[in-house]
Amino acid sequence: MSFLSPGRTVRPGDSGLQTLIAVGTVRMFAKNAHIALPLMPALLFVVFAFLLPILWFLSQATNGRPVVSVIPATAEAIAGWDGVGLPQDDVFEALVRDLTQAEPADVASLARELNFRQAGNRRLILQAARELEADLGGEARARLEAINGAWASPEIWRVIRQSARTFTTYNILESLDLEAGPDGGVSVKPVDDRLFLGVYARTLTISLTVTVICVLLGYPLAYAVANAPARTAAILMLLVLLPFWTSLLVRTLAWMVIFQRQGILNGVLIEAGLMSEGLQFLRTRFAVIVSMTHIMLPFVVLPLISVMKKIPPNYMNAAESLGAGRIRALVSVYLPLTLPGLSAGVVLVMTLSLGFYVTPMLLGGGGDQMISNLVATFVNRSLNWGLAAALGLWLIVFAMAFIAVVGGTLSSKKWAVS
Amino acid sequence: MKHILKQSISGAAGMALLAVCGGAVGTASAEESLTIVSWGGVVSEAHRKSFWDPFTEESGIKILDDSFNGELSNIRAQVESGTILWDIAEPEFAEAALGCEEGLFEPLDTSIIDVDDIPAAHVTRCSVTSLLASTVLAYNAAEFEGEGPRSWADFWDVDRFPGRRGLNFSVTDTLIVALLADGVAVDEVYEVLETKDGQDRAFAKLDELRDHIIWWRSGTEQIQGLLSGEYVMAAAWNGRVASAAKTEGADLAMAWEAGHILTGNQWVVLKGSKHKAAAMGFLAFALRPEQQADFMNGIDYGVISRKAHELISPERLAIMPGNPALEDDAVPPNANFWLNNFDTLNERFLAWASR
Repeated sequence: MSFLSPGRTVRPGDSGLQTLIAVGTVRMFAKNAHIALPLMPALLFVVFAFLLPILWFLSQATNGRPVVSVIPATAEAIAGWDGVGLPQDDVFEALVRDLTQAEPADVASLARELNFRQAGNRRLILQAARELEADLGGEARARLEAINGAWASPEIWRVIRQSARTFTTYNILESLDLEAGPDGGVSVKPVDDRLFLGVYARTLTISLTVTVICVLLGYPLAYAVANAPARTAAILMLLVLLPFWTSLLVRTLAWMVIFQRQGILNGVLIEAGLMSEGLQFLRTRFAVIVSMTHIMLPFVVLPLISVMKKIPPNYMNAAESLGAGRIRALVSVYLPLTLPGLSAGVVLVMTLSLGFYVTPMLLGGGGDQMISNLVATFVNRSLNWGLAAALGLWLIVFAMAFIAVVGGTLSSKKWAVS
Repeated sequence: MKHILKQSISGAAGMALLAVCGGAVGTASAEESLTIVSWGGVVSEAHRKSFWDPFTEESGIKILDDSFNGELSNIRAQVESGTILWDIAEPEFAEAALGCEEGLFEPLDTSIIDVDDIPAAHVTRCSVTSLLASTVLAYNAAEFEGEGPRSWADFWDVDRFPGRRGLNFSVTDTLIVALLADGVAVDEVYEVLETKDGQDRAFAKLDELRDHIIWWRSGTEQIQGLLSGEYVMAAAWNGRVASAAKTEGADLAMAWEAGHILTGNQWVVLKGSKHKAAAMGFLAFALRPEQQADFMNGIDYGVISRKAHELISPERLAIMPGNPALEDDAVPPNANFWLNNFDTLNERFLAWASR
């Protein structure tokens, strides 16, 4: 838990800067105590229960310490190898030394880490550790090669060289379907081995589709609610909010009931004589999009309503009295005024959709899984937290990039009629 | 994101919390209690009836329970942070073997736990088999006028048996049934799957069925799919099928002779458990033949104790995974194969299913 240990944050060189920052923080806090104090619990909660765990987890993407800490001497020696042919003798000697000195539990984690890179590495490491212990003495290279011929070929050494670094880029590359060649050059994997690029593209496509549909459905709905008489507006508002108060899982399960083969939708279609046999709705992209749109709709409707309610009706009258048609008035006056609400809604829907997990899992087929489903697999089944962290990292990057772009283009100032 | 969050909160924040209120956690329990994590639903109910409640009655030690899906991630976070919330867990074979190697579990105290009655394959330095289940070819007999499917080749034969097929969205069972359908014998499955050619063969076989597969992802979902007609046959867990046939009155049948995949769970005691002695005592108690027999009478999953097999009726024993009579048709568990090959094959499977 690096972020908890004070030894990592205070370094000898920057103590002056640290003091300055500390003094500045204290002064700022004292000056704004009436604001800062009530904020403290929330702030501390966000930092300790949200930001730090996320940062810690994301740092696992490049953290090579699980490997380096087990074979420190090898890590040092192999850094001097150029990756061509076989490593020099001192690397073999270092590995033999490291493996005989390491605890069995550490050797097991090392074997698991290296097996993520290539099947068979686990067996190779465990076997070497076991047999080295039983038989002492002899020249390191000959001993390893006698245990398994694989030690006489460069593949395993390249994996060790790439993994045994305090800062490793392996997971970052892997999460983009890239691989580093023996010479250090990076190339895209062969088509059949690619997995993540396609799933990222799918995640973005699904999220964008849901966002667009939500805007198309939500904008008129918000307009109707904002401009309806008080009683009607209250009822419409309730209808918007009701699903919002139901848990996401319950709503997803409700869609399962509707979409399944002998479900409500197929029942209605058959009853109406439109078809003789039920259609496949469950486990399709259609089901995922419909359900996600249903779940996300309030996130675009609510900000829009609050913005629309603040637009005085006489703005539109003014536009029309100056000769604008109804449509022109809507596009040039009304729409720009609603952009803050629209961009808030779009950002909410898009960023939340990117991380969807339960809905694609329950309603989608194998070809509808999103990046979160892969993250879950790597966290829970493979225990490959480094790769999971790298996948999550890109998800955060996408979300931030989207916020930046939408925040930039949909800001009302640019669009306002001058 | 939800998962990253959940994991990092359980892991990192757990550690942060421990750092803040360290002492309080350790000294909280005045009355002795054990926390056992199992799989929830009917499995946990059966555990409570046959193991937990009788143990409390005999020893006075209270049992608190929790449920999980066999994942090692949570256990690893607990052991590495020193915040042990569970004393006993019940992961599957591969996870039990992996955790044992990595030092996440306490060694079994064989001075009080009697393991003589248990075949060597089912007891390791720190785990012992708690439950045996099989993935079998299950089908909704109401969907077929004549005879139902009898083999995995029939499962693949969508002309003779029209309708969709339910498969677990997991590389392990899926590759095995594909090879069985391709004519590989149950005891040669892993030999074939070891080789690149064998792996290609399994994926090629899956290609044939691709358009007819519906993936299920949980114990309840697999049955729901059979009952609602989402698919007409499935690779499903024997205990869930049998219990649904009983409680839902559905006409579900199992073709054991097609070849079934034996799998199961093992009990482990988490490293650093504050109630280690009580936990070992519990395992000794739960492995008594009478308790094990009681468990088999309560749920359609088998146990490993041979003495327990003698205590239940022959009719019940006939549908119990782990029953030697069913062994000829069983693909035996192979934790070691999956520890070596899971990551690579899983990525290939996910990529295949994605296309």
